[in-house]
Amino acid sequence: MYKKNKLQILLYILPTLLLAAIIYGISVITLVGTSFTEWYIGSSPRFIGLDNYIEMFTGRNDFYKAFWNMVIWIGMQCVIHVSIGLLFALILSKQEWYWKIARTVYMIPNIISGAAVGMLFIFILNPEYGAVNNIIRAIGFKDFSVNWFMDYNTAFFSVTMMWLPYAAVPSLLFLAEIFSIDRALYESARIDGATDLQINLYVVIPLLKNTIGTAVILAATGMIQKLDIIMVTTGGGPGNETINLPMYIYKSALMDNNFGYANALGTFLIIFGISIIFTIRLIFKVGQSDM
Amino acid sequence: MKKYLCHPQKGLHILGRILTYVFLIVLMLLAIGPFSWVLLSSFKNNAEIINTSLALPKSFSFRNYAKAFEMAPLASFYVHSILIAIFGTLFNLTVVGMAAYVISRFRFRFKGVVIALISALMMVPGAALLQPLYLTAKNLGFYDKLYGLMIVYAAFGAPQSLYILSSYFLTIPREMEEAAYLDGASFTQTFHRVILPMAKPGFATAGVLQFLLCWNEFQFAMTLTTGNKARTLPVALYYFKSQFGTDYGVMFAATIIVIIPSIIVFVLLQEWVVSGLAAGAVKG
Amino acid sequence: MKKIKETKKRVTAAILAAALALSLTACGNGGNAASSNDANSGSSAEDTANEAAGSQENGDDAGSDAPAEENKERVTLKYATFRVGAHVMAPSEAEILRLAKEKFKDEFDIEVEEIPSDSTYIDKMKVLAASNDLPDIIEGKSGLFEIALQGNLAVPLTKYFEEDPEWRAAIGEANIAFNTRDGEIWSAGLSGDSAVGYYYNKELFAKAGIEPAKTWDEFFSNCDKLKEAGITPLSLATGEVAYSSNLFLAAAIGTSSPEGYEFMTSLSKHNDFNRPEVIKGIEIVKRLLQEYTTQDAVGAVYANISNNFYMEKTAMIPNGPWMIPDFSNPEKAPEGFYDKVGVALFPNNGMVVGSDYGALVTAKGSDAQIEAAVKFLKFLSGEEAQKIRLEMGSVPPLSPNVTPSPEFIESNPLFADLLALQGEAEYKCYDMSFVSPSNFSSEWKTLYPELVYDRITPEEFALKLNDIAARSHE
Repeated sequence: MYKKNKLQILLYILPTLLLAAIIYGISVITLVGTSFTEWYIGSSPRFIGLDNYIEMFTGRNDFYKAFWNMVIWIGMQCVIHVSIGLLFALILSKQEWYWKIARTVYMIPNIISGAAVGMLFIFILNPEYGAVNNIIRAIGFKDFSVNWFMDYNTAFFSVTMMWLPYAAVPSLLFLAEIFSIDRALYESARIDGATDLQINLYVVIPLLKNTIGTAVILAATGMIQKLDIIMVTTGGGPGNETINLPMYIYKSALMDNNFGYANALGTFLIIFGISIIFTIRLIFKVGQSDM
Repeated sequence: MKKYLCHPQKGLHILGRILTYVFLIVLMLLAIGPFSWVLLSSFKNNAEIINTSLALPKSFSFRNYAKAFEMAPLASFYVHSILIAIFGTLFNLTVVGMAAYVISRFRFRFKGVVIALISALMMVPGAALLQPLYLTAKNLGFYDKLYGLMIVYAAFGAPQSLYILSSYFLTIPREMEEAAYLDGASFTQTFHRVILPMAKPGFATAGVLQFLLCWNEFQFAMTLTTGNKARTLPVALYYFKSQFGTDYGVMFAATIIVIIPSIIVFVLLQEWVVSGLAAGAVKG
Repeated sequence: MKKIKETKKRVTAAILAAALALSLTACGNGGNAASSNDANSGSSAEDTANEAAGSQENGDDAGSDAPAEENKERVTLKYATFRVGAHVMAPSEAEILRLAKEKFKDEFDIEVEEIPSDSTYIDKMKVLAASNDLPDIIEGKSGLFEIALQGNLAVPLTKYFEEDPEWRAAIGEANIAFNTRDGEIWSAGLSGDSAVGYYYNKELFAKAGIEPAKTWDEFFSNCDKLKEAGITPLSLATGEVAYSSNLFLAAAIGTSSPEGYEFMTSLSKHNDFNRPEVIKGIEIVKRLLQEYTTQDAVGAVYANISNNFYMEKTAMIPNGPWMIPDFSNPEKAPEGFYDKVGVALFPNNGMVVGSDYGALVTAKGSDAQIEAAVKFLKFLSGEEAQKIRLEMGSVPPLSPNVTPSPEFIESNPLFADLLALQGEAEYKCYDMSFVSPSNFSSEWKTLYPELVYDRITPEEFALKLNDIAARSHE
């Protein structure tokens, strides 16, 4: 039944490929092509071979800091963020009285755009009149004052807290999946005397394997694209404490006007991103239906 | 106490419940706290926001809201945002839904390549995309057009929707389709009659995320439009964010104006999913 | 049941068809848009395609090869402005554009693109510059001037200034010299040199028993007295482009030594900041940021520091004349605040000034297009517009003929004070953005925290500035 439908397969996949080609085609070709050139805004690209890549890996710049920050954030997001989402979904799946309202409330921070979330946190974490410092002062620490985004001890933590606990997206994925599980499986497990915890661990989570893989992929790629929220809050500072690769690329392209170098960074980012995705797919065997 | 000791299971159960509630309450506070602070502050004036940042507003006046509508073309941007978000989402789900189906169901040559290509799109840094995409939009004539942003956002969200939908399709048992084929249904008929109805929750999840993408994107909404014919709400937010802008209250009011419709859409779509779940119960 | 399914199928099919039709229209319109562009601006579709391939056409051939029949076409000028929304100059800009449209309605159309927020404007202009598709007039701020020149995107204005001595007089020789490179005039200033000192709260100064300081030592002792009186002396911010902190940096460098003054008045961008006079200036700013400002200074933005000053939490704020209207704006400052404010020079009779890069003509295509753009620029920079900016936005004019009306002076004594100070100032230094490459603008906000939290010394700070300058291509 599968072989007959070659044409159908093509027809179904073609619109997506066309869409991607129209929107990204020129961009990706320009990106990779000009990564081997010296290209500043207002001048024409000039071929310089691997110089941009050599500068990237050996120059005195923020590349390694930006890369490692991004890797740390990807790791945290894949493990902690997705786990929080999973736990939340498992709790809500019992459909107790609060489940609908909890789901909606939890989604709110994800509904707001990154730039707006950043602005919001700037206000809340303002050392003088921000809510957080004022609450801490109100409960007794009268002289408390921390400059959350700019202090070296707290900057990385503060930035991370703008996305790590807000796992509504993975929890949405999990909930949709959990509800599609056959109720009979639960009932037979319960008849066998399994507790809720056991059912979750041995019945539900294994069935979610594919979705967990998807959630991890989306969490990782979300971190690879994180830009506006950092730009609005710390701009990568203090120093280079909170810089990541997209921020570094943005600075290279639109501040230093160095499109060639920025595109070399971009090419690296794409290759790195694809390898991350395929690693995750391998780990979770995503896409292999073994049901 | 004795009872507790006699029933360790029950003790554990209570402990579990307490931990569950603590976990939920912390998450809810983290989620609602910042939002409600902005909501409250949107009714205050500057002096109140700065001097008494934790207090309730003295009066619930809508002055800031009125001013926000005065300062930026919010009303027309609203219409654009709604059109772009709705049609961008439909377009994305239609196109990507088909691709996701064949990717999750069939083995074919170059499948790995297709997945790698589409995955790569997610990584293209926005800064690198700006200028080439501007040229593309100019040359293909969708610069400063509502449908231009719609198409662009549909493409931006394609990888995400593809992952969500194909992962959902995988959970639908093959037996259903095989039965349909035996009944003589064609490929397309099977997709429409068997897969689509069962994948409603998957579509809703992908749809919500795609809607939010369309609703919140700023950089390209700015770069790919001129004049006020196709601009969206995030652009309007920047009318209040000028370098020498100082009016917090109006800024907060504008933020709230932008957020509220997204929350409504989310609630409505989720209701639709739940009703879909009842229908989906037939399966398996 | 079957019927429902049928309908569903039809709906899906309809959506598919609509989607397909839409993508087809996208292509169809492409042709149309390109051809109508063709008629309007003379840039053909092939041109644009060439640019896409990366061969950067430049403005060299602009204007020379336009077909004659296009002269009959009505010209549409494209103009983009960031003075909208909450921008302090939004009202005056709106008025000027209204008058321009009225004045030129028989000659050409003006299409205005609103780009809220300065940084967004710069980003978009860079994208347009890289695509050789700039509007007909752009502003030269934040490195756009250099980009337009390097890319041969601007039209030299020398001959138009020669033809029109009146315009030349309205702009003034100082600004013309400022915007001349390689013997050609490239842009026309929109505002006179901005004079920047600091504003102070007279009541708070009286409470601490002090007067504006004459020397840096006195300034620091004033700050100490304010602190003793329980008042935070200064509003400073390191966020955004760290404008307020950099004003003190500029004043501190420029007033400390002859070398420093020379450094801060140079017209070319520096790439060596590792000099004693610069390091001394950094030390002064470091001290101010560490001891004499609010807790939120590091990372603060203009909104924070201006509100701190309005709410009388701080006694001083450095800023330019455009802040004056806000003092009497009840939406921003409390009632009666205007009368409490005084204005002063930086210590050692220092003042920070900014010359205006103004606006460049980046029109291309037919002569008519360029002529129209020049006409429009003449209006934007002319005396009428200067007068509007002065009275609606307290922007100093370029032309000596534009003087504030007596009523304006009377209702605006601070502005008159500031003008008087401009005459008294001994050292007029540029602000940092004039002596450093434009990529500095995004780096101050990450560098200052390092300095304030003692991660780097002033010497290392200067070395880091050198690194950033090395990355710039200006």
